[in-house]
Amino acid sequence: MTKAIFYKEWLKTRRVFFAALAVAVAVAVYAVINIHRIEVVKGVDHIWLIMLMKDQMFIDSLRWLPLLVGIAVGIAQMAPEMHRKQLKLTLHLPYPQSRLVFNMLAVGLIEVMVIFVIQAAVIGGYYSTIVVPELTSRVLLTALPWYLAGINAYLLVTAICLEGTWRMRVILGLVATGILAIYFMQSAPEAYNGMMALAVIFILLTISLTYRSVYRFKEGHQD
Amino acid sequence: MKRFSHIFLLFLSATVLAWFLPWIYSFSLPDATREPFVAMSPVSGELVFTMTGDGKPHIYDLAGNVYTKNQRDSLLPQLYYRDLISREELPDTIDGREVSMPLLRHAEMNYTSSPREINKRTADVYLMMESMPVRVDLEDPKEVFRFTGEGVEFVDMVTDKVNPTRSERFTRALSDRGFHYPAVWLNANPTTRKSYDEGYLIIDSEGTLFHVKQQAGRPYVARVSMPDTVCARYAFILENTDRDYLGLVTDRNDNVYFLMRDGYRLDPLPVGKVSPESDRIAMMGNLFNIMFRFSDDSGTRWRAIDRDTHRLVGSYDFSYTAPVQSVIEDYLFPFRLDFTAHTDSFAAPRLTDISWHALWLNLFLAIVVAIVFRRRHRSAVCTVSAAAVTVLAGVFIFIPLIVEK
Repeated sequence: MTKAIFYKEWLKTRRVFFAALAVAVAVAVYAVINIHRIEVVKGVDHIWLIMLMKDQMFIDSLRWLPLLVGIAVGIAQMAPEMHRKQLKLTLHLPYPQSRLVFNMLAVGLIEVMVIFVIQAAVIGGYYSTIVVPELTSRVLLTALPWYLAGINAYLLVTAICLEGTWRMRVILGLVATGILAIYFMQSAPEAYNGMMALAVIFILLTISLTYRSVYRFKEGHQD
Repeated sequence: MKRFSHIFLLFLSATVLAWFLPWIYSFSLPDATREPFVAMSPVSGELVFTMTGDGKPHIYDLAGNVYTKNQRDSLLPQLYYRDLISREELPDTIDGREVSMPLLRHAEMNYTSSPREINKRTADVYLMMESMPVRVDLEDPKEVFRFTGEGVEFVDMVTDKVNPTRSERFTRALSDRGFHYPAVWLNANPTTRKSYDEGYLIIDSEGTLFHVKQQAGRPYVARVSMPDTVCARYAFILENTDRDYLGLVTDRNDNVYFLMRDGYRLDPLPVGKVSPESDRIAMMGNLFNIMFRFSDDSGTRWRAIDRDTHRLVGSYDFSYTAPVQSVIEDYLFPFRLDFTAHTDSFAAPRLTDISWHALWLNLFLAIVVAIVFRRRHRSAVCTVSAAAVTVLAGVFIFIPLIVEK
């Protein structure tokens, strides 16, 4: 049954997964080409100078992409469940409900994280060939909150999609907007290092909101 | 799980509101507090104040005299010498000192420091310029250095390879001068937009100050001898046209010193306690005096010291008074949640502006919550808990409790 659930979720999300992966890699390659252009035109030392003197990491084009990937995967996976209330059928499967929801979220989270890891590997891999490890880690740590925002966005979107009433969807949407804004408030490099652990705990707790939406749906809170 | 997720959603909602409501309040009602620009007149020996913002500047001194713009120019020739020259009013001498445009320009010195630039995460590699370039103009740095715990390692930026010769030379030079690893503070200005380079001021783990630069590829390391009671905390390199001053230094007791180039002498400044971590610092020097402006959330302190003797010749304190919208805010919100601050470059949750004045509104809201919860037939425990949390978190939790049924 677990395999069947995984396959069902994969069928729902595979198109968006590959599209998001393609866009994520394309944007990462674009960022790499941009850096390479500067390297060719002005010399690699110019990149070091800008990174150290201006705190510029050359990855601004990646900034909003993880957030959009998280939202897209969340909608692709959960919106069909609410189409003609198909979630009812899913919940009637002969499978423990908690594990069912957990497996559904696991598929989405794995897909989102695979996209993020591949994108970060492209950026980090290129940087590691032109700058010292201190600067490569600085670039990746600067991007890490954007990836955490993407994961958090995925979980919040699943909670919003599985919610049965529009009133609560609007409330969840407003709360989600406020929460996701926190990840983009400070643009200085490595500004979020001190709250990474807090953000991870927070993301884990956010899973409970998806369960809440499912419980409410089962209890009949539906428009 | 259901109860936990509901409480968690209430917590999330309150968190967002505790950030958003005070922010939108402050954003909608900006503080219009203005403070004067202050300068010391070498002509009258008095501080001259310029208050702008009402269309035309109000210029005055503490004796109650009000000046026109032209009178202000004459009182502050060190700032407005170009206007005076255009009107052919620049005197030949002021206070027995020869005055001319080149002399005034040469004596100008400026420095600013912001807590945001100090309270931030820096890369653990640092640019090193060549202080004695082959040609006249300075060149961009070609290497960076890092502290390895036992020494210094230089890395070529083009090849990304360690330069063992330079690393060994700098490590030996620092060790010979008694440097204790790790370095706790470094400051330099590695840009070519200056006339000369003085490299780095570095403070070691024991609070000793070192001057380090690269001259013709070789290390120049000088240990600054300081009194036993002084441990340096911050040091800022000054590279002004007038080369008398090498740096501005603060110690662990927040005293301020000039580091003079001549003999690496530390000259204490009578400007009071200053903490670069929380105080914005602006220094404007001229032929006659040096003005310091230290500002934090409570106000601004202006200190004028004599250029030659470094004695205090004028001071002015400007305290910020809370505007009416800030007073009202204290009665509306029990606290505010910020994730950023103007004094640092970190993102972290922090509760600020905790106000007991909001307790009255909180109590009222708690009563409303209790009534609403009783009408919704909630249990007594649930009702009391909700009311108690409302007393503490006020409007931030009141809205979610009422809206999220």
